[in-house]
Amino acid sequence: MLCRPPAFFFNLAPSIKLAALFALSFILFFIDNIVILAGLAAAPIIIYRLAGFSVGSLGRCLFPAAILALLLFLFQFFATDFAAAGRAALRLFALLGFAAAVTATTANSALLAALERALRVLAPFGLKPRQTALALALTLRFMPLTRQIWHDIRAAQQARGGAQSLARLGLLISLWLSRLVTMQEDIAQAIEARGFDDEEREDS
Amino acid sequence: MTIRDIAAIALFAAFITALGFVPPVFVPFFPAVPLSLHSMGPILAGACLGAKRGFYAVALFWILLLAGLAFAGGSTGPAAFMGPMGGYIGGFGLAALITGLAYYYWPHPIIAQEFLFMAVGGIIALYAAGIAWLIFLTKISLTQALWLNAIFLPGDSAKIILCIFIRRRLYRSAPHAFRV
Repeated sequence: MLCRPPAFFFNLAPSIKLAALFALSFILFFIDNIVILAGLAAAPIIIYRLAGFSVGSLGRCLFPAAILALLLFLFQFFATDFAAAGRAALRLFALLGFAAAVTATTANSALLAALERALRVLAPFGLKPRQTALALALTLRFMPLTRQIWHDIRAAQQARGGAQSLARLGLLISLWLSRLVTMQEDIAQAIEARGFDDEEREDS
Repeated sequence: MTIRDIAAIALFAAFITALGFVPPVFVPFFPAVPLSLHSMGPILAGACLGAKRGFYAVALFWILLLAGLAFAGGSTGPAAFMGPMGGYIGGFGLAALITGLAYYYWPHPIIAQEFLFMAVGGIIALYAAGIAWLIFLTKISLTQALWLNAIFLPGDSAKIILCIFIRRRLYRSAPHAFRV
C-alpha cells in the first residue's frame, strides 16, 4: 500500500535525473526489441505509482502528445508494418513517460537551480553567469505581469464587443506587446537607478 | 550587454512563455487546423531584438520550459523537448536567429521582403528543425513528415502576416524598443 511517497525519487539530484533522461533518449533508439520497449514504456507508470502519484496524472501529462503519437502510429502502420509502428509509438511513450516522471518528482526551483549551475560551466565560452541570472530573475518577474496584461487587454476588447478576426487579434497582440515594452523600460530604468552596473561588475 | 538589453531579452522570453498559454485560434479561411500563436514569439523576438538577443530570449524560454515553468505544445519539462514537438521547440532558436539576421542586413524592408524574412525563419527553418527531429524520433519518411507539416502551412502563413502587422505597429508606437 502506498501511504507515503518514498523520498528516493524526490531526493535524487535533478542534474542526475536530467543526465539519465538525456542518456536514455539516445539509448532508446538503439533498442529494437518490442518487449524491452514495452517494458520501458511501462516503467514510468511504476515510477509514478512508487512516487505516490496516480496513473491518471501521468495520462493527463501524456495526453497532448498522444494525439500526435497516434497520427504517427497510423502513418508508420500504413507505410511499414504494425511492429515498426508499435516500436515508434512505444519509444515515444517511454521517453515522454520518463520525462514526465522527472518533472513530477523534481521541484521547479530545484530544476532551475540545477540549470543555473549547468550554465556556469559555459562561462569560459563567453556566457556571463550574473547576466544570465539577472535575465532569468527578470523573466520570472515579467511572467505573471505578462499574463495579467494579456487578460486585461482581452477583457477590455471583449467588453467593446465585435466579431473575432485576424486583424483584431493582431491589434490585441500589438497593444499587449506595446504595454509590455513600456513596463520593461520602467523596470530597466529602476534597476539602473539603483546603480546596478552590470558591465562594470562583470569586468571587475 | 546593457541592463536595457537584458530587460528586453527577459521581456521577450516572458512573451514567448505567455504565448504558450494563449488558446489556439481558428483561421477563417482554414478552420480545420487551430492556429497556435506560440511560434510568433521567436519570430517577433528576432525581428524586434535582432539575431543575438532574440536567440537569448528563446534560450531563456528553453530554460523555463525545461524547469517546468513554461508550456509548449501542451507539454512542459523535459517531456516537451523529448516529444514530437521537440524539434519545433529547438527550431524556435533558429527562427529567431534567421529572422534577426535578415532584419540586420535589410533594416528597412518592404512588406514582401518582411514576409520572406519571417517565412524563412518562422516556416522553413522551424519546419526543417521540426521535421528532422520527427524523422529521428519516429523513423517516418521525409515525405510523410512533409505531409504532416503541410496542414499547418496556411495557419503559419497567416501568423507571418500577423507578425508583420504587429512589428510595424510596434515600430510606430515604440521605435526605441527595437534593438536590431
